[in-house]
Amino acid sequence: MAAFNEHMVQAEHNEEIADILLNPDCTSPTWVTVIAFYSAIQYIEAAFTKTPVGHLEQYYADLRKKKDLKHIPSKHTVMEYIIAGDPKFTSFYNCYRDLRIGSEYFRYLRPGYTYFSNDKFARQCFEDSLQKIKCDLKANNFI
Amino acid sequence: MLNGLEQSCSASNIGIYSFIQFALLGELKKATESIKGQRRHNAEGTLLKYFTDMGINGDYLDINTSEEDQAWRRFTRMMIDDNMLIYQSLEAFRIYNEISEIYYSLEDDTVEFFILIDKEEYDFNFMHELFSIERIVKKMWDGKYLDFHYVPTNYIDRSILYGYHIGFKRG
Repeated sequence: MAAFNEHMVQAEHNEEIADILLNPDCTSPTWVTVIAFYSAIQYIEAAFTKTPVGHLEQYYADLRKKKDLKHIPSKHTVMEYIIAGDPKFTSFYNCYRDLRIGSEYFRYLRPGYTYFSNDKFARQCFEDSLQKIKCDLKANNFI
Repeated sequence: MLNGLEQSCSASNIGIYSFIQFALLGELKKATESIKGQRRHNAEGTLLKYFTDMGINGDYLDINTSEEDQAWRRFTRMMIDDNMLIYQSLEAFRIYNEISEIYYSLEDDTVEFFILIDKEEYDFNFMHELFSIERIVKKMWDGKYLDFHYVPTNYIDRSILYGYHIGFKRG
């Protein structure tokens, strides 16, 4: 399981790649959105290592054993629930949702993905959603 | 306190829809007034307890419920069965004119909603309003995972809705 530093290195790497694709002109709204989401995930997973959640991978495995769920929620859904339920994370719930929705539309080319497929959407995901997540995690000394 | 309420509350004597709407607007007095029925006083007492743990934080409403304090979830669960929870969940969204249709599926552990939106592009502010409601709806369900999917009405491939129940259709 990845340690705090590994999550941070990957998060920053993803963010740099998204930045390169976005600036000065957006060359791929699809990839900027997807990579921004994966950058956010790594920042959040790094933060989790400093909370009782610990490693999300292990938390998820334990949850599946403990709850004996018939339909297993995805790891992204579990992360979403942790964010929604912890007052230290809820401030960026909306941003996580923006990034997740955009990323899923592009990755699976869901009907209507063209609805998001523009530079403005990708730029807002990168400049607002991802940056707010980072900012809030920093403000709470998680990263 | 909850035991007494368990015997006295039913879905019909609380206006969850109005309650949520007024609460989101910060109209705490009107929200408590939306509670109806003979046992209003008891129900109001419980909900007032939550108002003290409730705050408008930016664009959304926070109802703080710790792992130890599950009373809010128990409160909604004991008075509302799954079908009624579906109904209440839909009610919270349908006030938006931009929402044209809502579909859902209810499995043992998960509930999925497909919310069709009459918009031509992703509207961050509008979506954040929906996410605020989404968070409240999640808290109304106990022990189930909810997944919300938002799809533009004009672009949806309706075959993906096969097997889902229609919950709401405008007009």
